[in-house]
Amino acid sequence: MLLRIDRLCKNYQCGIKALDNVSLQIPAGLFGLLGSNGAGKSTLMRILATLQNPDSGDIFFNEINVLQQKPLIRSLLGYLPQDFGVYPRTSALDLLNHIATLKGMTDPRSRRDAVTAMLQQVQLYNDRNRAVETFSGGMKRRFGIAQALLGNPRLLIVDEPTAGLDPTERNRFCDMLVAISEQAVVILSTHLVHDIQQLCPNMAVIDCGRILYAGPTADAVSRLKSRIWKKSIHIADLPQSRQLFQVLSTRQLMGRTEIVVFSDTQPDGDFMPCEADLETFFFWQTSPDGRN
Amino acid sequence: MFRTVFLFELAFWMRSRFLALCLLFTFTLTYLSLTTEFIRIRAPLGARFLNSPIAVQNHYILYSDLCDLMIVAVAVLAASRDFTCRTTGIIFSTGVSEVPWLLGRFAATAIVATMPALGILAGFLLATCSPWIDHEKFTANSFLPHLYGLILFCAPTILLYTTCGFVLTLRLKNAHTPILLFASLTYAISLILNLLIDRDYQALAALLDPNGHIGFYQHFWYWTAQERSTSVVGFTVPLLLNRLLWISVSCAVLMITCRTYKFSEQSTDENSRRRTVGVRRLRMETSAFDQVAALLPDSLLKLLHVTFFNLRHTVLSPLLMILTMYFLYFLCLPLFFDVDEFKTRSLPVTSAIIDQIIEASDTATRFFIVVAAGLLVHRDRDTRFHEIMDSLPHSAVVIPTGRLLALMLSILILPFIGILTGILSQTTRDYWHLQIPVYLSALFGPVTWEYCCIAVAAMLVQTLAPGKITGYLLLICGASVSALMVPILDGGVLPVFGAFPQVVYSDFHGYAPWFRSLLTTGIWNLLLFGLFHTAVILLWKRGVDSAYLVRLTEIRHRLTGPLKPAAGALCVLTTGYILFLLLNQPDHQFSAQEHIAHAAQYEQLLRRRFEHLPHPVVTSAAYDIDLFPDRRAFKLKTDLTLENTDSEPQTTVILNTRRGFRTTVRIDRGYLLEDYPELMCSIYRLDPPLLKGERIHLRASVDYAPTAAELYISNKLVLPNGSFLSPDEFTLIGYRSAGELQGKTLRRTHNLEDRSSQQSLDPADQQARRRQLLDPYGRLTRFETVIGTAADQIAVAPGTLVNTWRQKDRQYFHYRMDPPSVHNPVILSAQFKVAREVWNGVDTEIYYHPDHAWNVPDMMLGMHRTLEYGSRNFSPYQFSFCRVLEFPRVHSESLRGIAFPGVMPYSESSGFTSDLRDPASFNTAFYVVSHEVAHQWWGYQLLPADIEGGKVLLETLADYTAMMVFEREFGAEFTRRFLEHRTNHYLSSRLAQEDSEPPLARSRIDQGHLFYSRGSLVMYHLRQLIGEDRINTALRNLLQKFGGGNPPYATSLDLLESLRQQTPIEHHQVLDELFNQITLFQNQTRSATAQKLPDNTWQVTLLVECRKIRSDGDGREQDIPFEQFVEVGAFSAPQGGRRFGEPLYQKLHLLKSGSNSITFKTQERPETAGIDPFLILIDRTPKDNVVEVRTP
Repeated sequence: MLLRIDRLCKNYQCGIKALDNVSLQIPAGLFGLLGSNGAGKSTLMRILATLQNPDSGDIFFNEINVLQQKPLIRSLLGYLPQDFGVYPRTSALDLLNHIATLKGMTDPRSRRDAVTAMLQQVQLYNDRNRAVETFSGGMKRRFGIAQALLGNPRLLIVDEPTAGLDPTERNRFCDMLVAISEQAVVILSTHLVHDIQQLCPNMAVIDCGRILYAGPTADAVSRLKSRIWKKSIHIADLPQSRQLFQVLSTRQLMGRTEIVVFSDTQPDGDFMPCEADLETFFFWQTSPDGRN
Repeated sequence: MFRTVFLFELAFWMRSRFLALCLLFTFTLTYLSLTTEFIRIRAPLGARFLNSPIAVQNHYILYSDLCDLMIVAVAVLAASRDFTCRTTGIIFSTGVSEVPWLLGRFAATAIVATMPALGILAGFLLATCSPWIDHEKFTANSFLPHLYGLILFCAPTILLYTTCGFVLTLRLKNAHTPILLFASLTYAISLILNLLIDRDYQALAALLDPNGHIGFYQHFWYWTAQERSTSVVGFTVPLLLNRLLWISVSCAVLMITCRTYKFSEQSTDENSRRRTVGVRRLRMETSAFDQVAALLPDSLLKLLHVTFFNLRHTVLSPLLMILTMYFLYFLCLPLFFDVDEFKTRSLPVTSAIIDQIIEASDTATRFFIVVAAGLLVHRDRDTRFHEIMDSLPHSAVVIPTGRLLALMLSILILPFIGILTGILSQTTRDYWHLQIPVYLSALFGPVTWEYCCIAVAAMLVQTLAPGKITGYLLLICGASVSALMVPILDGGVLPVFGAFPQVVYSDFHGYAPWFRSLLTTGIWNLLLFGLFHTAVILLWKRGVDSAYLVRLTEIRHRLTGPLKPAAGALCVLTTGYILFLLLNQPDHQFSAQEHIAHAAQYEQLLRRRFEHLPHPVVTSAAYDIDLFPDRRAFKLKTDLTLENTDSEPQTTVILNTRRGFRTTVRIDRGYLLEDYPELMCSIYRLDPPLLKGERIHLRASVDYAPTAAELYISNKLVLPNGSFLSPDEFTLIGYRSAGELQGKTLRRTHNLEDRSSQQSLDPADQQARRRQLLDPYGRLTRFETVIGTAADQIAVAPGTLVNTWRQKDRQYFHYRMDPPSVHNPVILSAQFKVAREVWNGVDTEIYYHPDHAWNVPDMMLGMHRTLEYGSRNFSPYQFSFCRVLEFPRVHSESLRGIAFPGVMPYSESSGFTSDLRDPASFNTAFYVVSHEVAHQWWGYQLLPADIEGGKVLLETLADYTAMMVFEREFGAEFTRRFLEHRTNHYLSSRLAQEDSEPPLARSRIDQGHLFYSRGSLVMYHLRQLIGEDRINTALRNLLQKFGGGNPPYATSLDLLESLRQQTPIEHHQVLDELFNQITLFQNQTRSATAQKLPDNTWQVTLLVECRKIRSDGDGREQDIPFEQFVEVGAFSAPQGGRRFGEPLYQKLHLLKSGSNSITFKTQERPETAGIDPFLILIDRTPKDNVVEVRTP
């Protein structure tokens, strides 16, 4: 099972290059797509979800041409958009039932069982008869997850799925994703590195429509081994430090500012070695120097 | 704080598109209503100018009346904004307190809701400046009526409605329920007001009317035409009271809300619970659906699922609920309260109820389709659910088709509710002939198909439009353009999409006459429906890119599977059908404008040359007609004998044939000189000329069958059951002035001189008296009619039935008119049931539909009583037969009855279906039959000349005779009801006339309010003065003098002379006033008191005010001295729904102008008393004549 994205380009009329020659090979399992806001994640997701056409490029899911065989790919697809609304005056059960039917679950009994099971999985069963529009943000997100997972999709595309979920809900959702990823390609788009670090064996970093990194998550971090340093400075010295060093991130710690810099060697004696993590990798990738 | 909130709110609305749209709406509506014919906001009667002060004020009243929901919507939007935008937390935590927030926002909202009314002012100003208006319809602009309209009518009503919307929203915290509640509230109030008016509580209704509408109309109701054109309705006491009442109610409600409203009240728990309950109910419906659906294939199941999922949403939407309430309001009013002009109700026959359902639901349904189509097409995007929906594996067909089906199914809701209401109204009135199949055929009839066409067109427009609002605007523009285009498109060969023939159900023939035209238009509309829907499927927005280029490239991908051959087949079939229509030349429906243009052209071309030209006249006629009812075809052969009855030789014959029928004509000695096929007129030259006493034959034949591709019914003469035609109308000879255009403006716009179609009444002009009104180019004629018809039908024509026989499975009837009569033949053929009796050797017969036997005995009685009265008082009845025949209502919606010689067709929708079960109802069946039978004297024995006042001899005398017969049969109680209607009809119609009003003796052919209404009142007045016997003697004398049937024919002056001979000299002045002048009265009983006398009798004293007014033709009035006998009456308490009880006193008193005191004695204490209680004088204020008697 493989999703192959080949030289995908998408330009918007306002001149924004949303995708610039994006190529990826995504095997079965969880795949993380990391990027800052406006990086092109959602455009890529929508193209994968057959909602938008690229200007050029190809996408194949196994042997299926995603751009040419939309009806076929839709029958294998589960999609959770970043932001969505719902029909007014419609209960969760009704709406999920509606979606399940459209997904081809036409046998009433098995559909009902699937919908009930899904509602229980996302902890919405007790609220199944409430209008979805009256749900809280977290509940609505869970509803979105439920509809995406309905019908055992082989290609699951989830755009910022954990936004608005409390820690317990988030863990439960992560478990569900891991379970489904054993037999499906799951693409998880997010700007929260923690999710990817925790879930995805493979990942890509996207910025300004270009793929900056694609490969195993573990490899990404190992690239920075012994090249990340940290130092505590006064806030007033920050501009000077930025000029002197390749500062990847800063954070406030007990009234002092801690800067994290990238350097092949120890920049000066005050810098301490620092353990690289995915967040640092992301900052490194998206910093102008890192990109070069 | 108030200021901040107020200014912020005002600024918010100023930026909103909604306010701009509302303003544009009122402006456009006003402007178009003033400058075009497409939108007509009816100006109050009698206002000469479109911008007369009361017409201007009426616009402001209509704004608050028609746009009430718009006003409430503004209030609801303002009050609910913080809840819907979820800004309550921010706003209410700023420290603003409740009262300034509430008052500030309310004040700004009220001002905003009033602003669209300024569109009216702009509309008027721009309309009067537009160069293309008819300047004679406008007077100089004045701002005063606008100011009064705004302050007196608009502002208080808007204050009330805004308060309602605002307070209800604050209390209920949602946007839909207040609108629903408000709609129900206005519905209930309108019902109450209608009931009050119906029960004659006019003053109370005027006080309680939230719009001030009733008070406004009541105030100017008795104004003169002059006043109506120049005066403004100002601050009168009843209006002020009404306005103050509703302003106080608004202020009180607002104050209570200010005192009790707390920000902390806002909580959505209650709402959430309510919603849960609502959706639970939905859930159960889904389960039932699932069980059925389990048996269906997958794709169909998805389609059905989408259909019902959307149907549920549409049906349960607030939009449909509000529209249902409006529909029910407009349906229930006629269904439960409608009465005819004499306050007699019709039986609730199913066909009439269906008409009312269609009429009441039409606007609501069209509005619903347009709005719902927008909501359905843009639903996913509006709710931001589209990304999920569009990524689901459904084919391109499923969602658009499912939503279209949902829309089409929800269109059935209103008629379905209408049918249930209709059945309820029938059963509550103990009417059990329910005709469920007829109801169902109406539910799924052409009207519904038409709505389906609108639905698919609206969905296509919305699919193409970038957004919902743009879609609505496009639809409004499209509707306006297509309304403008209809006359152009109608003239073309191809029918307009969505156009169906207008079907009228009749118990005689059901919908059968329309089968062919429904099939032709149905196939056309179905093909276009398919093409339009295919376009919707192919262009439906899916995904996040909705650019047109993207959607066009998508078409290739969507046009797969069965959709591809289906679309191809549709294209091929449509092309084929267009070819079929082009080859078969469907019939062309002439528009009203075309008819008018033809009439103008006819007059311009022919009048000067031929109006006074001596012309041969018809002296005998023979018609041979073969009706083929099932095919709606007929063959007619006409043989007319034309004779020169003048001394001079005649050389010209003008022949007018009937539009839409190919007529072949041959005239002895005649050859075609001029031919005007557009005008259906040909001019023949006779060579050698026709000398005095010489006769020639005009032979014509018509062979008519409907075309194969019939788009509508071009003629309804021959129907499967219930044919009704006048065979002489296919070959009318001579110049026909009756078809000339009437009305100043119409004539002016067609460059015709301002004149009447009739010759003016000049006693010296003997030439003008040589043509008679009913048949200007005929003398007393012997005519024969042979009719062949279907074997199961009876055909009837004037004359004695000479023979009837059956041949080749067809039935033939031969009628011969003997003695000779006015040449006015008619043929009716249907599956009749016949009621036969004999009166003094005359066969009296009623031919009727077997299901309509309810009132046949009353009609038979009316016929006998009138024959008896006429024979005894005027002259013997001239024929050996007297026949009343029922005809299907499709032949004429307005016509009730019409008299031919000895044969009187009577409409299915009138007396045959009047509800006469209540003895207190005016017996319309009896009355109309009596009126038509009276025409056998007044029209067929006394032949009036074709000059002004001729109709008085026909209609006034027939009405007089019928009412004399009626009063004898049913009593004087009904006289008042009859005269009250006649008074109101005369007074209101005279104000609506464009031309100046002539006196009765000079009334013209189109002035029914004179020869019917004023005529009846005049004859009653005369009867009160000189008595029935003297009038009847005068009429008998008139008949003896002019009843021979030969020229000179009688005029209204002859009637007047005959009456004068029977009138005592002291009443000659009054006689003159009645016939030769326009005289009105304004009588009022100020008080009536009764005092018991020692001899147990009662002395009654009346204080009355009398005024007599003379009006000129243009409505300028002047008081004239008054000394005249006027009836004074006192009555016991009324019973059984009657207006008065038994008369305790009824006598003529000589009264003078100004105040009069009258004293008389009665045996019992009277309940009511007054002057002219039966409204015999034409009283401008008829309601204040009789008052309650008080005891001091």
